[in-house]
Amino acid sequence: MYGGDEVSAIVIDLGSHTCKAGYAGEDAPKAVFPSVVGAIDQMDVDEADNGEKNPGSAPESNNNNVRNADSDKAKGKRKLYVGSQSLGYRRDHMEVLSPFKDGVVADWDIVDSIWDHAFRECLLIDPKEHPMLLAEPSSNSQQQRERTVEHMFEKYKAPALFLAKNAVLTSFASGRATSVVVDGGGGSTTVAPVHDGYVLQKAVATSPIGGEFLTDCLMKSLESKGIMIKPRYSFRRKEIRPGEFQTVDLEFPNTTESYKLFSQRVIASDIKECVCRAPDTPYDESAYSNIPMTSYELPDGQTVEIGADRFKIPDVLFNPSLVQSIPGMESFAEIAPSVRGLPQMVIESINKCDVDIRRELFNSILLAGGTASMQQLKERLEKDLLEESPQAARVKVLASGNATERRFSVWIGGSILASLGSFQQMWFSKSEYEEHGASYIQRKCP
Amino acid sequence: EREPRTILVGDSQGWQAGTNYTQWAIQNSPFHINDTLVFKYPGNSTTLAQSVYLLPNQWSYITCEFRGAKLLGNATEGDGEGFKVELNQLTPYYFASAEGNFYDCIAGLSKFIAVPSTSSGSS
Repeated sequence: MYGGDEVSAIVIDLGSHTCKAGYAGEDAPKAVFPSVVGAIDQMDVDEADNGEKNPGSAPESNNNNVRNADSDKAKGKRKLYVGSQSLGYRRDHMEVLSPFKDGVVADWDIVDSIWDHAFRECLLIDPKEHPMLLAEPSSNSQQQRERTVEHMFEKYKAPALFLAKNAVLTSFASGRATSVVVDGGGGSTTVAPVHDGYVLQKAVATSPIGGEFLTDCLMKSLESKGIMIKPRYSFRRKEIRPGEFQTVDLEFPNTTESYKLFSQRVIASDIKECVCRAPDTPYDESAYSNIPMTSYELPDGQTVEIGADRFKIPDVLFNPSLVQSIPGMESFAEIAPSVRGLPQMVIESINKCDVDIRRELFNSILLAGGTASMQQLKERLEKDLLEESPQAARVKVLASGNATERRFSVWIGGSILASLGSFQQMWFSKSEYEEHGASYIQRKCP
Repeated sequence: EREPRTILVGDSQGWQAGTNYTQWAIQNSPFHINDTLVFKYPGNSTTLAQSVYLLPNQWSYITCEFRGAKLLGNATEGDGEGFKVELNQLTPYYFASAEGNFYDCIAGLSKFIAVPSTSSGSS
């Protein structure tokens, strides 16, 4: 039983797109950085770090990412670069990798490097001095949980640990014991009913359409109109006369395709966040063909005009078959018909729950995550659900707080929870781990 | 084979709302299967009656939601030798008092968890 001195717990939400980390009791995470990392095979590292020219980005000090020999051997010796600053600096042969595959951790070395970055470079703490509350996917498996437990206690020597489901934390942050949490993240969208603080596993629904997918749709659509997004590393702006600039293209032939795509996505994502909003009704090509354009200035000075895409791209969340009409997205056209839109996901999820609680669930639909914070999404979802739900149901879609609170609602729920006085008795302590093993997590954090 | 213990909740203070039983439970853990917890409180108090509730789940415990809670010991059963609860199931027991103010409960007073263990080891 953990009963240590009162030190702040650390709360970490490693999402599919970004990792949020900070201290329990605070209003927002201290650090928000990508959940992907740069990776260079060790034999290329010396060459890549030889101080090559890289305009537009201040080189950082070389920080070693020391790992044990076994994992080096197993992974064929890689050097990993973690965090916005490291990833913002182009390197030859650097691939961009995710620790997740289909929503499940597939590369624990990358997870370790992300946690290391959060602890030692962002929060500047020693993990063995702080209890850890980790948010986990709503349908996390027991095996994944136990692996997480082992990592935290064996590698990081954490004094205590707690794992909490994303949807439960969002529900907790909103003060509701029972709700349906619609979590629109970067990598996927999840609908998870929570009843009396527990996720109803059989009713959890997941769709691969998340924020990143929408960003890719926007990129392809712009490309089909002749607009190429230039990564920031690929040009330099030269002042040819006071106030007048000329763009000079730079060549970096050893840049990986994955890094180029990552860099383009960063810009396309910003376009999406600036101009996109959910349409009031299902997107219709003819109705939107003549709407006014919105301007957006790209980093290279090029101005793009965006019209129908402002509404068409977000509507993919509601009508996935729209993907088939976006040039360049043909590879997703095959699976698109089998993916359900957001309103269908919610209704099917609720219908898998006990009849007695459905009314309450329809009345407490919570939005969470960055993609669910999109303008007008709440209004559109509420409208669609009113039309498609049973007549008797009173539909209420709630987007509590401001956009920041929605985006970080999982982390905020964890922050509130771990700072409660009564929470001190709920930690899974290191001594309990040593006595009962990793499987005890199921008893301590049901 | 370990002898089951009889443990007086709150030690000499007994069971009363507003006391930090979270801290008490941490100091008196681990509890073992078949241990007996004794809740001792005045049976005919004119100031504040006490009671012992078992909350249904972890969420109720965290949020101090008494809906669905089971009254174990009522206001008169804590007198004399006190009200006894034997920890005979390998599940968390979420004990709480319904008296006292809500903030105390949220802060971890007036309640505690007992998770009986089968192990004979001590930590």
